[in-house]
Amino acid sequence: MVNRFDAELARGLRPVSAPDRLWDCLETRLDAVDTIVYAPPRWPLWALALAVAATIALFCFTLRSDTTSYMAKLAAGELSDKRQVEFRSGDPAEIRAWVKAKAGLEIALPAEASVELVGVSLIGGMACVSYRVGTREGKLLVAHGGSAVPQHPRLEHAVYRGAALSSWAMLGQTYALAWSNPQDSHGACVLCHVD
Amino acid sequence: MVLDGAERELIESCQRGERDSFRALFETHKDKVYSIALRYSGDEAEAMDIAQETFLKLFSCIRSYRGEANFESWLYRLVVNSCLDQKRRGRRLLPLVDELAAVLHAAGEGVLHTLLRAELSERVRAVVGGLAPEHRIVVVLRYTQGLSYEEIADALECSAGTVASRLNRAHKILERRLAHLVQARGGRSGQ
Repeated sequence: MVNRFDAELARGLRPVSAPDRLWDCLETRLDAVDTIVYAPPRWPLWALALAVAATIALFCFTLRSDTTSYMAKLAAGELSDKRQVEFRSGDPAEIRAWVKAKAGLEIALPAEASVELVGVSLIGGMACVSYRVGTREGKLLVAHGGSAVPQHPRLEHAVYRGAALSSWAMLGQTYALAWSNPQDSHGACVLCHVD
Repeated sequence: MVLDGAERELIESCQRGERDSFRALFETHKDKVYSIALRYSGDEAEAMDIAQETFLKLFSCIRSYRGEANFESWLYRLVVNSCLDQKRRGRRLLPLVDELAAVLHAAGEGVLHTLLRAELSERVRAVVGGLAPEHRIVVVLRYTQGLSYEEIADALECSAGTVASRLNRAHKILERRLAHLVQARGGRSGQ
């Protein structure tokens, strides 16, 4: 009995050929999903964007590091070079006005009465303020550009050619300081800060 | 069955999104897919929908095919799921006109005999169409594609024992519903 039904079932349920229009119907629907399924994955774009951003950040960091490093060494060079200042004055207001007029830079000077201002020079668009505290000399180089933070963090000092060097950026300007007494590097800070 | 080099290459090019390769894959398997769809649904329009859904699924997820499973089994799973997902619409038998056309074109047989055979085949399909989906799909895979219990189990993701049980149940129903037709033909159906 089962064998007899097997034959009837096989005959009744025999395979058939698919109609030719099946592909035509399918193809229009494939077009709709094609762009979704085979759209190029987006992760390479994100990876590329991330790589570009990282490169730019690294370039800026390196550039900034190079700039501050260059400025600090330049300030040290100015410290050892005993040439005359371009604008000699002991008046903080005069120096501030001269720097503002000549280089468009803002410098707030000084905070301590013990600071003796000598004058200021322009070096390639940067202002170099010369000052003394007692027998020690200092040079402060100021340039456009850098971080816009309102105040700098606690500074680390390095010694270069017998001078204490430090550099920082704030309020959109970059600063480098060279001080002639490496043993008392914080003595230079009285130019702007009350001790 | 292990993929041969040509089929593997064809599938890999489909995975790269090459439409011509997908067309070739479609041509290879379209009759199989459509036959299952038609014998399961009993309706040409519905079979077209099921077949399209199956190939759309294949197109969408062929990238996830890693070659661990037999490709044909994988395809059977897709068509089975499409069949079972298809909402039960008002199923109808294949148009009688198609059967009559087949009868008129049949040569070398008596018209009465051919009509009886056509009637029996149609009745078989009607009875199969009345089975519960889980029984019907087993019968279709067994008799339309000639799959073994293990192959059906693979396609349905169940055990071979479950397949045997469902097929046995389906046979009993079919026996009950078809017996009078077979008897009416005087036992000639097995010829």
